[in-house]
Amino acid sequence: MTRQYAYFPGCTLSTTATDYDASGRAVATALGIDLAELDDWNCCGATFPLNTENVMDMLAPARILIAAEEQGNDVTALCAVCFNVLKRSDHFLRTHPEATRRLNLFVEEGDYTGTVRVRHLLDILRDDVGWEAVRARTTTPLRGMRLAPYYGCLLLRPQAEMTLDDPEAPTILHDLIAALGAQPVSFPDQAECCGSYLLVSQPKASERLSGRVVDSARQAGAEMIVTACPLCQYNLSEAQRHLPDEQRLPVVYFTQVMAAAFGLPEYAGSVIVPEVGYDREA
Amino acid sequence: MDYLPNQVIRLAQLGIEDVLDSRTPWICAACLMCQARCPKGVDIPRIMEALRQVALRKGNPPLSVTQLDPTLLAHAPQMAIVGALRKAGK
Repeated sequence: MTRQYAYFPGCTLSTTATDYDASGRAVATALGIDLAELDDWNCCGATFPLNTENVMDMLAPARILIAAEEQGNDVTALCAVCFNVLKRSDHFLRTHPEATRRLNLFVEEGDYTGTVRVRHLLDILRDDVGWEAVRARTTTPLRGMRLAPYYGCLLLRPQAEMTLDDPEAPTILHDLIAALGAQPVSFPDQAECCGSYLLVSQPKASERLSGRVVDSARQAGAEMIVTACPLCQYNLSEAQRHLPDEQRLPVVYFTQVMAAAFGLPEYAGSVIVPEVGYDREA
Repeated sequence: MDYLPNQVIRLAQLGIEDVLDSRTPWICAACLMCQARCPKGVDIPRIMEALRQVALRKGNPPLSVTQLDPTLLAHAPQMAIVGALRKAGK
């Protein structure tokens, strides 16, 4: 059975994180998920406007939601920040009819009517596909691999609007890692901030924050960090620039881990599957 | 960070405009951890955003697109550049 979703790649997956985009599309296809890319999409804005009184700041995400409504499918993004911006904008428009009426005046393509939902591939996997089907599709179980699920900030918060998982004790990436046969390694900083866009304006601050997250995962015994955000991936990798190669913890996308377990090594990036029959737990 | 977040909130409550010159709102990455954990339900990130916007309207954005390091522009994820400029730039 094929399930279809409107797919919003966003700016970063089309430029510096094409490996996330390609691996996401490949593992979706492997599970019978059709990611139908939106036509003529625009940037989501990359930050949700916390000052919601200026509704014009929500015009960009509103246009994306309207395009998804025209396609008639729930809309999904892989980038955690796109997902946050789209989901929060959708929540705001659903609960603020007057703001929606004003915004609709500025979008030529149609009106926002609130007929589709914003999803992340992770919740599609959990709620629509199911972990059992993910486990069944796994041809190369990642036995013995110790993977640290890193949730970061905006995938989970604010919980009342994101509703993806518990903001303090999330499990969705843990469950995925376990379904792929690997061992999820919890660590104290799994939902702390990597520094985000401070990389541009306050690089020392973001490097310190990212370094702390990497150290926390290393001390918990992880051999790799798994993320759903291209900015986390960049920041956590950059924070290890000064280390020799063999001391760095690779920071990979959850879709690359899936690709490795699904027997699609061309999409798996630096996720190297242990040799067949080699079980480090034994 | 020159003022701690609770000090920023207190200065804002008291209407002391020095808070607009504080560096603290520009070090906030809007990760929402403080909002999720504040026992008093204070929406600190939204207050930081308000302070940034008031300061930006007075001029002097801390970030200018023309002054960004070209090496950084070539390598950093787009989302970081767009996000940073929307929060702190002009």
